[in-house]
Amino acid sequence: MKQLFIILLYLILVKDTNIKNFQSGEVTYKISMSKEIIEKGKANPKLKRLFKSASDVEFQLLFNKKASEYKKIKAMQNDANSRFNITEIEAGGKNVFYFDLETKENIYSKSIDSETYLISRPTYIWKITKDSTTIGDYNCLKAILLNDEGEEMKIFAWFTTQIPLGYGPKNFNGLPGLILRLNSGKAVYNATKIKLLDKKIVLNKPEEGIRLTYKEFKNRFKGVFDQN
Amino acid sequence: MAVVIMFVGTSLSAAPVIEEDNSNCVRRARAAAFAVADHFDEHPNDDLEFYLEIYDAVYLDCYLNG
Repeated sequence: MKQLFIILLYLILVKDTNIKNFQSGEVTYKISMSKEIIEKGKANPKLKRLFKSASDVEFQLLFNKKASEYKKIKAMQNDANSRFNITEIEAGGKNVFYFDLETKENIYSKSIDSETYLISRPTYIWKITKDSTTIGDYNCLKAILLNDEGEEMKIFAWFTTQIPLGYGPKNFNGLPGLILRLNSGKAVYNATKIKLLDKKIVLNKPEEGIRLTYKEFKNRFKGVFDQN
Repeated sequence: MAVVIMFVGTSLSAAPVIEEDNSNCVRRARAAAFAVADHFDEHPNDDLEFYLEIYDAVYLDCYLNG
């Protein structure tokens, strides 16, 4: 019995040490729109074509202890068959999202009209709740995104403090731990693979492009949808 | 019949826009963005990045494939 206890204690400690001693990591998120949303979209004649090609996609979050980078995993072969995938658009499309944990810089690069824009967003404000769940081996807490007025939005995340780095998919960052599940109100992002690595990875901050704050970006492009 | 090729702010991508197709594709792209926004019970400006991507995807599809 004593031996069993020692073995168990050893396993717990070794596992905990492994979690704390990593230098970098990779998370694969599988992004899905709810079937209800897709079916409802297909039933709408205006949206039928757009939702017909909706299918799950995978994006990758790479991180070290200073920064993270989120982008689409290289296209799979059957991607070529579909013209566009609304789930992929929601998941981040071809954009690359970078977050610096120290400076809280939340930047993503986006190409519009043959120009690359580097758009910086303010860090999100979250309300951490007492709701908890387990995802894989990780204990998670629920956090709800707040808008500028401090009101709760329909966006919420499950994050784990066992990986105490405030990264997540797209530009959803700034929690006290890694986001393993996110509901954006349009789609659900589920971490399906989590690798903690004992090697250094270098993540370069995007530097080339026209820098815009999020406010400037909105002011520049909101006119596309203003007259309706 | 003259076809005017121009670079304008109607396409959000780097495509030369053929004027004749332009209004039709812009109309389609905007209509799609508004229809999806309606589906999600919001205005395109509420989630501008997402709806600009929809606009761009539909516009390019229209431009390239008709």
